[in-house]
Amino acid sequence: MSDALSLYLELGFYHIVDIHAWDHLLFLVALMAPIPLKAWKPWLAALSAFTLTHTAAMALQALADIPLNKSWIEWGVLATLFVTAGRVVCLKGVHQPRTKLWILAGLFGFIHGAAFWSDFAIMVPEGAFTWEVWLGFTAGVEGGQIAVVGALFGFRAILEQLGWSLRDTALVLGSMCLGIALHLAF
Amino acid sequence: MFRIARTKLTLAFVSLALLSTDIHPLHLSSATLVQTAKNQWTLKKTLFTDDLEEAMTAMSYEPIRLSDIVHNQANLHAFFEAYFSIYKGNGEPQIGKSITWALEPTYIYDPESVHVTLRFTAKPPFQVFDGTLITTYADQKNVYSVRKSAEGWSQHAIIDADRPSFTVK
Repeated sequence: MSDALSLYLELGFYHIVDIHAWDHLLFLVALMAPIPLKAWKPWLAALSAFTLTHTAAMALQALADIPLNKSWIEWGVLATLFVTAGRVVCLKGVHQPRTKLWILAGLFGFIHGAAFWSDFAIMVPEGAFTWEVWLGFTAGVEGGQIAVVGALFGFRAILEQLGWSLRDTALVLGSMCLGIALHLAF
Repeated sequence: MFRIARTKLTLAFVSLALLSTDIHPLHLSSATLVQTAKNQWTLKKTLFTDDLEEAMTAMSYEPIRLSDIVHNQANLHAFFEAYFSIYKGNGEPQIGKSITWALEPTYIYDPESVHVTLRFTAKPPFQVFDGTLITTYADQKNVYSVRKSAEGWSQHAIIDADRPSFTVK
């Protein structure tokens, strides 16, 4: 594996697996909270859609340098958390198998990617945007998300052993994410 | 009964969350290290302005605002003297093997980021120690890309709290 690929794989992974990356972590928790582990297709599709549009938004910015209002984008990130967590609370923690969650995740990945662009532009030295950088970072983000979701499913399994139903756990996690989104907004 | 408990728990988590969060920024810098002529190196480093101001303020015990370039050039030089060094070879760094570097007379400022240029003469292998911002932020990562010739990037590396240096081969 080349230097650049492994370096940006690591940076992408720890971009997600980082206690300070609360926006991503809470979004993932809210998105995945009601989905059962065995329904792997919807959650994997949602994660991958998020990763791809996250990278697509940054690539678009790299190519076109679209002027974006930073505070609007930050509000947009909060809105993604608010909507995702609010959805879990409104549905009382019940998984909706017919919902195409990947469309929602893909749309929100675009907003998160646009928000991260200014940091990514500093993370990658001037003139060093190669395909290895993009591939490594994207794969790292996807790997980090799968690790976080794995930890979430593990946590849910422990709670299940303690008598919590998936619905109860999802409702509590969704409420927590909604509370944080509201706190950050106001 | 559990339905009531669920409602209470939900409210408790919302209330807890309302009290307990704050926004946290990303801590990193990036740099290109380019060999412009045989053994002549130019290092261009980009750092977040707010992070650098906080670290320099902690070092000098006075508020630093980098928008005042003339006043802060000497402060920036002192900051790099404290946290940035280059050593010949790839073994344990020795005092007699340190390589002197020169900071460009002025840095480039914008509210988001600061761009600093250093020049030095060194024959590979040599080690780059870059502790800038790492003592201020435990999660700081300093990213490097090295170009030895026109053929493209020859090396990429991260310097952080666990990896204080890298060797240019």
